[in-house]
Amino acid sequence: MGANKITNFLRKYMMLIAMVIVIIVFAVITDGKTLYPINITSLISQNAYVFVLGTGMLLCILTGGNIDLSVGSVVCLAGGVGAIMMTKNIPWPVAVIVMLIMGLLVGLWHGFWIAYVKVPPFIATLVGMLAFRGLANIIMGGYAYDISDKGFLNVFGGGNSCYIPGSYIPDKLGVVKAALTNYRITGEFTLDAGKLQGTVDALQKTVDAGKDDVVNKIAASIDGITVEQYLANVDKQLSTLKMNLTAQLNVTCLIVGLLIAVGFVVFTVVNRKRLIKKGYKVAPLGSVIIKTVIIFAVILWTAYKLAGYKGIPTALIWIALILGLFAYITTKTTLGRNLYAVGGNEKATRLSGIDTRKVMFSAYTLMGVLSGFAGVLNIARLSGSTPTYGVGFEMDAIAACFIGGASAYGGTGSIGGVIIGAALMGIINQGMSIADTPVNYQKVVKGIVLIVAVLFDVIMQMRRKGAKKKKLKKKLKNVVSTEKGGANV
Amino acid sequence: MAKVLLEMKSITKTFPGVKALDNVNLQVEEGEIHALVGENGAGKSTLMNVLSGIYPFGTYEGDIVYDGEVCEFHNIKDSERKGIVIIHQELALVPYLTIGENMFLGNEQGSKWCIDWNKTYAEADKYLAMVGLTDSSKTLIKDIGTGKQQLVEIAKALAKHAKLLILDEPTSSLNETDSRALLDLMKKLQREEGLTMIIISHKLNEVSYVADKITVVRDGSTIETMDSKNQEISEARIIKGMVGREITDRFPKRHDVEIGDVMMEVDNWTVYHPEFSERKVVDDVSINVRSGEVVGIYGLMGAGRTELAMSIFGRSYGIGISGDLKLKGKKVTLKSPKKAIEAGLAYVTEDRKGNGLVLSNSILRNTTLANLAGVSRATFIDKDKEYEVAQEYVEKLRTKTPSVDQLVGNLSGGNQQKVLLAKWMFADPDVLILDEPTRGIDVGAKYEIYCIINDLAKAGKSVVMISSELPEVIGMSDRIYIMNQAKIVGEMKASEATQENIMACIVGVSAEKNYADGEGREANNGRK
Repeated sequence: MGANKITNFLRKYMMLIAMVIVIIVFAVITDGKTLYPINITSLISQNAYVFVLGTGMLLCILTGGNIDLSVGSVVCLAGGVGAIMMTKNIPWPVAVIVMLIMGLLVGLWHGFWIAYVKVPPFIATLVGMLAFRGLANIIMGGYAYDISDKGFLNVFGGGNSCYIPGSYIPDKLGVVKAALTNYRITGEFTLDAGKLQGTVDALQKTVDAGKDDVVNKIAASIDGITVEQYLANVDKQLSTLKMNLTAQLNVTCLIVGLLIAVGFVVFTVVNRKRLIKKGYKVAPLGSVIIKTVIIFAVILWTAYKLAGYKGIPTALIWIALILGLFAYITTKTTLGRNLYAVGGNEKATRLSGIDTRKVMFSAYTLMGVLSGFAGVLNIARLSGSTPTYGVGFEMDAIAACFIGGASAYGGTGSIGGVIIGAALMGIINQGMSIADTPVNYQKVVKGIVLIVAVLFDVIMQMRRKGAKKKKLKKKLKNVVSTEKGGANV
Repeated sequence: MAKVLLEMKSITKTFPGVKALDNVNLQVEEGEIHALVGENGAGKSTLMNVLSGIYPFGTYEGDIVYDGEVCEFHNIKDSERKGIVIIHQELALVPYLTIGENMFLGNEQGSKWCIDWNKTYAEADKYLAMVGLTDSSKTLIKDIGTGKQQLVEIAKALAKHAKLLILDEPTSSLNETDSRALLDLMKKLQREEGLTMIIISHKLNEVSYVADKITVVRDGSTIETMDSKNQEISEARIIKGMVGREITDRFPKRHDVEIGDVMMEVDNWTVYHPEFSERKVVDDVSINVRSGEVVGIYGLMGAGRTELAMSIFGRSYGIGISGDLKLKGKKVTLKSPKKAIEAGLAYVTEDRKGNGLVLSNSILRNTTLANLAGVSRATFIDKDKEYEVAQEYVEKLRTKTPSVDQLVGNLSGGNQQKVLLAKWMFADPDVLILDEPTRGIDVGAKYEIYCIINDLAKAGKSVVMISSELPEVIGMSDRIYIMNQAKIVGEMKASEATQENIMACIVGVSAEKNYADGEGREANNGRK
């Protein structure tokens, strides 16, 4: 039974564990660069579209492993139209609404063909992928359009100031880190600002002296390395120290992070009490506490990191809104329930009095709207639009769903899975970029990650079936032997 | 005495919870046509699956002696190599390949690296001529009718150099003319090629027409083997062997149930097959059911029972549906399952995994699927209420599960059936149509299902129970309709029903029907 429990645990949290391992591996490879506040922030803004499109894709995949190939083209089309409108000085809220409506229309179009005419989704959306890309090119005339509307960029996560504003305070933790670095260099542990600054000055002097300096040459030869290497090491220490000493934190971000973390804990406790009061079965206290503590810590850590750069990126707020909304839809509404039912067994669902066509239609319509919204985020992030934007986005979204545990046959998957899938892909992308892995190798690695994720799921399922068979065999033997025994009597 | 080609000695095959075959013995002589008869689930098909290696050696007990040696078949290829070929009830042909390609699928002619198409089609034509099929072997399978497809299956078997051919319900999807042609072909192959054949059939008139020996299988055992070559075996004699078993008190009694007014009435109901649009699957059927009443519909597989039920339930099956449906005396038209549910109907399918449950969802989700509105405000599901409902039904129906969050796919057949019933009970219908409610579940669970049915009747619901198990129909119903070949062929009170007179209803009609209007059918075909 113990082994079984471990397998179950692994099944449930495998991708989460994988993510933690990947984070650690990249942090080690890149000397912690991937964990710099600026990189955490850009990880979120860069991958905003994957979260949004992955959410929509999940709806389609839930209905029976159906995918939408057109999302990249729709992002480009909606984005292109929006960018053109904004360059013509049409107010950005109007442009955003038009983009969303375009997404909606595309969704209705796909939904109609797929749900009511029964065109296979793969083909219907392949048509969309080609046609909407073409349409985007026609509308944009092959030109790129720049967006300079600060209001738009700030709200949807583009440009330099797309963050929730707030005052800054010096980072005390940064000073501690600086002190630790200082201890490694000088052998003296001190939090005194003057002394730390002294070390900085000394290091700066060493670097300034250059490779022809006799002292440096001697120091290098003592360590058994070349002068260049020695200087590079010193330079690295210098920049780390400087960064930690000058680190500042965005107060708004810290407060929001703290509120969310505390709010989460309070919610968990209250909800648990309510369930117990009603006499429902609840998860064991120990595992709940561990889970809560981990999530609490992750929220605080993220908030701290974000605060260390410029605060909460506006893109994050949009992601959170979309993910929250659709997590609610998939788990708490009849539409969500029907998505899972259709994917699990369409016939049974239809015979249960549910209009399965409507369910399919809704999935693709929502996907369309979300594609339009991804278009909004995309042109904001890139401050403009070109006819090639959005190429390959559909694959990122699909991969995020499958890595996150959605079944290729439909019926299983969750928004939580999409978050993990999208984040894992983003982390791998960014990690490899920072580690200077050539782009083509990055693609190979992503491919391997996807197959490993799916393979793991397949193996686990086979194992489960195998275990069941064994159980059956045992049962069988018992039945036969008891019957034989009976006959003897 | 002819040489014994096949002998199956004390074959025992067990499935979880069920002993499908119990010490079965079967002897087939060279060159004879041997018929296996028995009720649904008696174990005929299982026996043939053991013989052909579908259930590989080691999963059953006993010996198969074929052509003088003990055989261990690990898969179909093994048995085919020896010349044992099985033709399944569902035809296994690829519609978009030609006849020739289908015949040599997996047995391609030519060298290892290159298929010799000339040889393929020449060979195919040779075997097609043997079965009397004049179509070109380059015709696509989808372009020929079911009757001809059945002939292609036989030609395919011959091409594999079959010595022993097993036909599982070969005529179940054929009309009378085609059936007759097929049976005649069997006789011809026996005469001219010396082929040995085993035929499984429900149609007793066909069996007595074609078979040299008849073996009766009942409850997983061979009961008797009759020689019909030298003497006429009456159908009544066969039936006696098939059903001769006692009804014990396996059925809980209903007490103090008041049978009220007519709740549902179906008049002159006719339904056509969705693909073969000229075939009637339900033919002018009229039935009714009162509140508090349990009405049984008995019929063999393919009699049209499920088709009748599903066509009533929001036209979820068939085309060209005509006839009247009245609920509580009011005429209604139900165009979708949704409308049917709203009107107070429920159809509990025979195919719980295919049509009934979402196996990848939990008990909770399956329970509320047909009535999500019952646990939600507008579109928002009240999860607490839903949990309470699911919990209530788990307790009420005594579903064995650790929690309502358990995936239905992980439950046993009996418990799955209970979840399915719970789903429809929560939809709170007036009329429940239960299609084979106890199929594939063990005896204990069956009894519990019967109790649930009784409770439903007691609560004033109307229950229509479709079943192909005679004892169950007789034991559970107030009134019984007997259905055969798309028609209602009899109606009787349960108190007057016996296994023999129910079977007689079926035999009477099929015998009269099969060969009497064979000519009329032919004329029809000609006109097409």
